[in-house]
Amino acid sequence: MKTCRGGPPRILEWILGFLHADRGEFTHLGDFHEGYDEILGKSGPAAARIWYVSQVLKSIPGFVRVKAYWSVVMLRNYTVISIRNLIRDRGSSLINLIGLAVGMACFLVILTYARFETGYDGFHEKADRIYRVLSRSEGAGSGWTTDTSDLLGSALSSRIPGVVRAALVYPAPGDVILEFGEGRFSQTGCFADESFLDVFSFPAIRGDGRSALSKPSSIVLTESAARKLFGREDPVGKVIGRRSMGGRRELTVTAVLKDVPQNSHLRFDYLVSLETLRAGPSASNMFGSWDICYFTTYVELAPGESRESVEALVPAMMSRAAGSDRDRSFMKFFFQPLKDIHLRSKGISGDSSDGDIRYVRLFMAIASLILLIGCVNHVNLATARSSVRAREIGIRKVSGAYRTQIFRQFLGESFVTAAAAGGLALGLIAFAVPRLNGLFGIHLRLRVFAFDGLGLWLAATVVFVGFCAGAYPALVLSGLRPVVPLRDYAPSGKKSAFLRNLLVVFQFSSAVTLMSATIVVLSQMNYVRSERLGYNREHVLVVPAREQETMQKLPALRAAFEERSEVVRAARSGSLPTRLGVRYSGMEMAKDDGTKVRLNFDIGYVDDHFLDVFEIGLAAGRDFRPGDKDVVLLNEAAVRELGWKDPVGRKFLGGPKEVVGIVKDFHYGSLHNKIGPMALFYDPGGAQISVRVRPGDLTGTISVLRSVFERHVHGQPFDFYFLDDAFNALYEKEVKTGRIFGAFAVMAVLIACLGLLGLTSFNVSRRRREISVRKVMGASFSRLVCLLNGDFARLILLANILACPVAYYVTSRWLREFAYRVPLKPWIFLLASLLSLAGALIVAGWETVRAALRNPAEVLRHE
Amino acid sequence: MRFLSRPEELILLAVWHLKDNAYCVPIRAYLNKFTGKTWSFGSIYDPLDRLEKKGLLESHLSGPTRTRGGRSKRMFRLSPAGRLELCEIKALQECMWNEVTDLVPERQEA
Repeated sequence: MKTCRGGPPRILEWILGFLHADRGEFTHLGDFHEGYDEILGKSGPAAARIWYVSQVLKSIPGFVRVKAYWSVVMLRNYTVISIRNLIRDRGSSLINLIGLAVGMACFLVILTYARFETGYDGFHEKADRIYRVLSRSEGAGSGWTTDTSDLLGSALSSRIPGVVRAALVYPAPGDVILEFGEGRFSQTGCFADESFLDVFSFPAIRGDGRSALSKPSSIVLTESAARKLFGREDPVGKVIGRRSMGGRRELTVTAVLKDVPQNSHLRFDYLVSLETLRAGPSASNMFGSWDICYFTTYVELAPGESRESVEALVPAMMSRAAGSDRDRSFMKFFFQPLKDIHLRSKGISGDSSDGDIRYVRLFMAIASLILLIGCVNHVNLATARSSVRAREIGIRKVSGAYRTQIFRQFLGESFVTAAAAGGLALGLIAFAVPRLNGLFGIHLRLRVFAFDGLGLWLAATVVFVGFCAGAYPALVLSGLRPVVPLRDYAPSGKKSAFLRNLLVVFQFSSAVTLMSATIVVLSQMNYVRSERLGYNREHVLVVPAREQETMQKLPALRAAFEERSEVVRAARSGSLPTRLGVRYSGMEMAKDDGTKVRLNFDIGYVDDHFLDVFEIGLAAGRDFRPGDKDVVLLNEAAVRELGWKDPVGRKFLGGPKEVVGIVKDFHYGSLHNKIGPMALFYDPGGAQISVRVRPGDLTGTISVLRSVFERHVHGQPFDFYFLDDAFNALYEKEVKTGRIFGAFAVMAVLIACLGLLGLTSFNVSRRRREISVRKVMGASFSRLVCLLNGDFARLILLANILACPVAYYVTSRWLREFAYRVPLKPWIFLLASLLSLAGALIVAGWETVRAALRNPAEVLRHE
Repeated sequence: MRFLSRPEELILLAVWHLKDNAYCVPIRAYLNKFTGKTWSFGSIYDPLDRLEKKGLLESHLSGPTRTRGGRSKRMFRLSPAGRLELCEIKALQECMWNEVTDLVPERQEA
């Protein structure tokens, strides 16, 4: 290879030049060049190149030594300078630090929460291959439901090759009593078939998990249930009693499982084998028909099998369904991924998960906003301070500092601040999380040192904040021309002032948006709860029967309750307005004009007192009467869907049940869903008594009811709940969410105000002399305050004007997801604006008033 | 007088000897010639820097030349202190060596 210029290869020379940064000159390179040429002349290019490379390698240790030495020297200098600066502007530094720390703490807490929510069911080994089968019938008003027939599971696993196995679960309604010896405990649980423990990873700590659920009369306990019943004994092989509505059954404990993790959508204290149910008396009502849907089906797909390809095979299977006399292809199925169940199950009937991806997203958005607002504080203060640091930078530059050095210096300072804020944030989190858990009813655990835990995220946040908050000021400051700051005392920095204003506007618009959103969310939640339900939920006590003996006493008990003067009415029913009962899906019915529609009916089982107790009105026809047979009440929504002109007296589902009356629409279940077609069946054999009591002395009334109950029923303790509480439980999550939302919105506003405080106090301190001179020249107090506050007030006004449309858009989009929503009124946005303006004025006003009140002599004395 | 290390002393001598052409490459060549060993550039830069810091050498940049990729040379020259130092070293050594009259290498037994 011949190079016309001679000398060593350029790349090597470049590396050597980098390593030998001798006083910024390149005389050494020249020397090496000559050395190279000499060897080239003597022993050829190969030897020369080898020699040169060896020179490169040899210079590395020295390079490292020099670098390390100088970085320590400079670091010492930087540290000293930044500590001096921090101390000089204690107030604003502290504000900055607190703002960042609070922002980071909020962000990390919400992040932990969001990760907890999105990590639901991730602990199952096959989590990616497990799906819950949702079904739906073609037709109006039919939504997805988790309820499927028991035939579905076996059909899927036997006829579709991609499905490895299917697990069936039947959630036992309500609590049951488990007893062993003297111990009796009320527990919740499920019936599950034998493949359940194969599909899901609930490891057994005692007994064999695989075969534990294969035989009838087997029960599997969780660790804590086992401890309650057996203490330290080994429960495997022991026989325990399970008392429920169906009577008492003896079950053999076959295994003990580890407790169900917090983040599992399946929750149970015990599992009973499905075979138990199959062998039981009510088996014929539950099993063996495609029309009876009691079970939740989970399928496990083969590894690598895609959901779509398996789903595509289902319609063909359903058209020739085993055990069915007709084409079932009108039933649609959807495989819902296991990990989606917790957060993406809104509107699926039969689902009990309370997560909501919308809230998780909302929270993440808030968290990021809060963090950003904190960063903005830092940026603003740093650029504002640039006039003070300008001279330092000028000196550094004149003394030969490179721009990158100054850039790195300021970025480094920002990282140090971020790290300090991170430490503070950690303290805040450790302090706040246990309290938050209590307040919001969530279960966050702190795992600072776990690899994927808080620690890593904290580090990431520190780096992110350090860079975000530091990059811009560092860029601006390092770009200052040395002449300017050294000549004039204060550079005007128009550009950075503009940016500062922009950022303040951004902060306050986000704060106002958040605040308006909070108000909207809270008022929506209030609205939901105060919405006319169509029934009266107050002053109703519900007394459930827990076992069969109590069930037999219920008629007498109901009558005895009604005899008391404290009781208005008592009804016995299987359903409550908060929780109706089963859903009949895809019912084919004829309209008046002969066309057929498919409807989903929610069915309630009630007696002839039910409408009176809950004060549900009748729109037409009559209420149930004692002794009625084959009668049904429809709601107005059902009549509307059916388009029946004269519904009373017609046959329901083609008979034998006859429609005797139409009840006015009332909200059964959650207000998230629209009122759909509903039918009430006459059933005087329900398992609970609802008692409407007279308002007034509630404790007295309860003790009266207790004595009546205890006279009639032995064995079961008197327990009851208020319908109101059950109703509120439907919205518990929402209330908590509202609280969290509100708390974090307040945080955002506070941090923004903190930033403003820092900025004003800094500005005021810079203008102290100006203020004094003005005062001496005769400026009035009010003029001074106006002068100092005018800028910020204008900015915040602008922020409000910008924020309102954004807030309107965001909140109206959010509200669109509710079936019943609060109207958006202008006062919401006005209130948020006023609050932010008031906050800002108080914060900024405090500083400015203090400055304006100062005696000018004190300030000017030092001149 | 300060005590210098042997390389420093040799380099100081080389600078004196080379007069106006005293920069790294000729110094190295001079040392290589007299000691019969290959001196690396690094083993010359360090003593040069040290000597300059001690005030025994002065340096300036020459104009760029074509032969070395257009780079300038750092030329060295003895400072008055350096000159004095060399004289003192010479005096000391002559003085001490004069005492040594009968020094010969020990004969190796075959």
